[in-house]
Amino acid sequence: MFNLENAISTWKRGLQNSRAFLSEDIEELERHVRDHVEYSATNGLSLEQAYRNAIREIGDPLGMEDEYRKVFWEKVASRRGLLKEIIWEMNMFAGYVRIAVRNLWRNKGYTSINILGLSTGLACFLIILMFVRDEMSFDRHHENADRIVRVLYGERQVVTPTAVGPTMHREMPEVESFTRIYPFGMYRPTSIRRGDLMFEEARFFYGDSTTFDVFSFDVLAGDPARALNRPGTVVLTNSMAVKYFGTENPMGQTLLVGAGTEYEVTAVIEDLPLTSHLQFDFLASFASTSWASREIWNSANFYTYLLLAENATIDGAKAKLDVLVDDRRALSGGAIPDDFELNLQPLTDIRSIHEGRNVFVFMFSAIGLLILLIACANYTNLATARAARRAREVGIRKLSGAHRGQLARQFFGESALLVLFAMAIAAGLVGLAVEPFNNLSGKAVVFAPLSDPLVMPVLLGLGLLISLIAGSYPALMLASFQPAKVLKNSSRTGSGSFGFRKVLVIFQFSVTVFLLAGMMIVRFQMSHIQDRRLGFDKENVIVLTISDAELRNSYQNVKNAFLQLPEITNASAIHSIPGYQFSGYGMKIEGQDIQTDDSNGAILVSGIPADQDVVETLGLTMIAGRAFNDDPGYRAEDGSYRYLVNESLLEEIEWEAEDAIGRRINLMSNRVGQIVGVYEDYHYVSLHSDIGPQALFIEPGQFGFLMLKTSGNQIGETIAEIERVWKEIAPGRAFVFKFLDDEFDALYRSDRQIGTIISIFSILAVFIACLGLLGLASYSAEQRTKEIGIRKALGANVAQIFVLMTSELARLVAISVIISVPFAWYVMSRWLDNFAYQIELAWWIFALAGVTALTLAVVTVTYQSVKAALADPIHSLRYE
Amino acid sequence: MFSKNLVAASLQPIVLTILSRQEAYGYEIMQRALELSGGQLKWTAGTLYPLMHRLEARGLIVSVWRPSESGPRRKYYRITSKGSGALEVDKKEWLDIHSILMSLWGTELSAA
Repeated sequence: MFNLENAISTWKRGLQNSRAFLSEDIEELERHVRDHVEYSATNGLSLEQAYRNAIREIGDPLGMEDEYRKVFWEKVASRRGLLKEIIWEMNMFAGYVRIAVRNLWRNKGYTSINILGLSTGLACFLIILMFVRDEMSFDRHHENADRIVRVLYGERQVVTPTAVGPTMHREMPEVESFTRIYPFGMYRPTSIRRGDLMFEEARFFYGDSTTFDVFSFDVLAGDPARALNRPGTVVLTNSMAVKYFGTENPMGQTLLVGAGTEYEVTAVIEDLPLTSHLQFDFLASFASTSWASREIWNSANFYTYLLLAENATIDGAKAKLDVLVDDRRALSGGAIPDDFELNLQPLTDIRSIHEGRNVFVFMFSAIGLLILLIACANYTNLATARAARRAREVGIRKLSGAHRGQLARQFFGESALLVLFAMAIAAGLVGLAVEPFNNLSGKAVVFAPLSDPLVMPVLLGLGLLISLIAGSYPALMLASFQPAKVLKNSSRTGSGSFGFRKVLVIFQFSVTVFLLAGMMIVRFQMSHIQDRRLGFDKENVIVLTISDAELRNSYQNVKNAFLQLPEITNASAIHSIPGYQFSGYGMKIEGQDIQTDDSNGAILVSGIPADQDVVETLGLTMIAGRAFNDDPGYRAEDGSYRYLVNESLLEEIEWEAEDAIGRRINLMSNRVGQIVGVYEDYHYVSLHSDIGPQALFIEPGQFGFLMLKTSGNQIGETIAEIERVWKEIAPGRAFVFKFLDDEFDALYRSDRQIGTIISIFSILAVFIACLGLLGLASYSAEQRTKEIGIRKALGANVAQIFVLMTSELARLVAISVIISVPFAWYVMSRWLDNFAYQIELAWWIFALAGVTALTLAVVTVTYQSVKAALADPIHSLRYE
Repeated sequence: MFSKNLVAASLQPIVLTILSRQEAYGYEIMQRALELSGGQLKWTAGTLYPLMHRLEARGLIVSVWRPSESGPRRKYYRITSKGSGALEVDKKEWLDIHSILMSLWGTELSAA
């Protein structure tokens, strides 16, 4: 039975889906139709006939929509009731959302795969973005960050002589201010005492009174301008103030430093942010040191920072500095060697360039972008595949008068809604992941999506971009379908777009293979380093600090006390432990003017003061001569030094090991002595660097650590015993011990962190790519249902069908491998250049990455393929 | 029946003329045009209403919703003084064209 109201409301709904009509327009048209029906009905037509005439009279719906659209903006512009239009538009929008939600809900599998992939991708990207931003913000918190430079000795050495800062300040108008920072505790932890409290502090530094002119610190108490202008004053960070003074006011109180020198607390500053390359807890006045009064050009132990004048440039200052250095060299009479050069380094380059973090920043940015691209590609891919599945729906909607723009809007709307979900989930994921990520990377990144000036705009911008890009393909493709074609033969639809999808899959898997190969190479390199023969035995060695003067002076007694413990097999005092033996000396050899202090012609060697038992304790291998054995404390009877040298040192000066024994060298200044033994090279600094020349000599005044070699049995009890002995011989001093192997491994902490982070993100990237593949496989299986049915009906077996389903994929992955290998090879060999000892980039690593990617891909699609292969052809062929 | 172009071109002066006599709603305007032309001027709603909206946007007519006793309210259109001015211009143009055509065809017409 014909119902006029139903008919009219159905017809009206068609109009409501188009943006060309305002609500008023529809009302007017509806009234028009009613008038027409009324008129025709009074002329004797049936209601149904009258309605049909009225609708026909209105004309072609598409033509009408076009006409309305032409005047739409003209109307809106002239309209007073703009608000009404906005409400109308919102209504329309709500309609789209409703339809979109319905569509998404109906395809829960697809929706969840898509949201999962996209939100994971977005979350990774956000975390990487915050990581990169944190890296970029290093040292930028100083007010004059752009004008601060650090003086380098040569290309890389960060410590400079005392004369550099003051001389430059006096003679160069470009230098507005300067400060020298003496990282005292880094060379040897300093004991700080207050009453019963005593700690060894490695972050006890000295600084010029001008430190606060150059750098900006958050001062909590005291006057920074005067805090460091006399000897015996110290500035504390807040956490040190709490550590030593608790709730008391630390201002004006004293701390005992080293052997017991009194330092008055004159200021308290906020703890230094983690994004500062300069890290100290105590800054004592440089005037307290004996160095302060001496401006000398050798003996480089001090960081020098300059505040350049507003109008000065680094290049200009550097040119003047060269002249100044030449000048001083001429006056020095050989004390300043010919190759002495100073360079200026912008403060903001220290983290990124000097510490090489820009490589990682670049790597992470690249990975972040790649993950984002994979996620987008995924999203687009799934959306197009699914859109093709909806071709029939689209065809029908088009036939019933849906306009192209209307359909496109619908797809954009669905796309935007999905992205919105994904964004919310991504924000949640980042919130959960930020803490573990901070722990992993040693950062203190804060995720505050609402107040952060970067996160929201980026998230929204990306969201908009992704919904546009990912939505545009299906929106435009589908909307332009020819309904007749689609409805006639739906199984072929979308085959044209499959080329596009293949490209996306190839892209995703190229990235996947790239990341997999990168991840493997990082892992292999890390284990290569860890497994490398170091040339010394780092196992079961416990390290204690004996840097305070009292302990150092009685190190022999301390050592003997520990040797009484049955589990301790060897012990040796040493200046610094392997991995950290940087201490550099100029060395002169026989045949040169060996007695003088003239640095010309000297070669730089690592000179490490150690005691008689160092060879046994570290398990070094002697290849010529003897160990120190019973060589007495300082020097031999004739007042000369005894030296053990490594092979690299002999190579450098071209002496044969056997000939070297008994020949004389001098580690300047004033350490003439003879070589008594040659030991096999061991890695005294991290494997990032080559082994250079090294010499060991006995000089107890420089000892900083006591190494205790234990049997390795019952390590817990041994440590308890060591602590007991420590309490007896070093009363009042905190018992702090380390394991040599831990300390050595710590050298690769940042490499390992990077490795772990890369692995995590690579795995996530692979995961996202596989999600996409899963969706695509089910699409492909669905598309080929009929083909598979026919093949099976004609006798194909399950295995053949499986091969049919997966061979295409295998080919795509193979292409991806070919594309990505050159990139991976190039990028990873650049990374490996950071290491002096690298693994070979063998072909099989890339093959392995490719096979892994292929395996993952095949496993991902297996379920769909097997399902398709096992399906009874009756079902797939029946509905034809 | 007239050609599509001619219908489109004459729409504005006809609508304005009808409205210059009395305000009217869309369907009414269409019916009046149909009657006046003896069934020759058959517009569709899809062409009439967009034109009405355009005229309104340009200030030649104004609209007002009025309740109706026979069903939902109707949107009535009324000509403005600006619209009357435009109608005068239209009128002159059409008559000019008419007289040109007349002078061109005058002899033929009388010969026929």
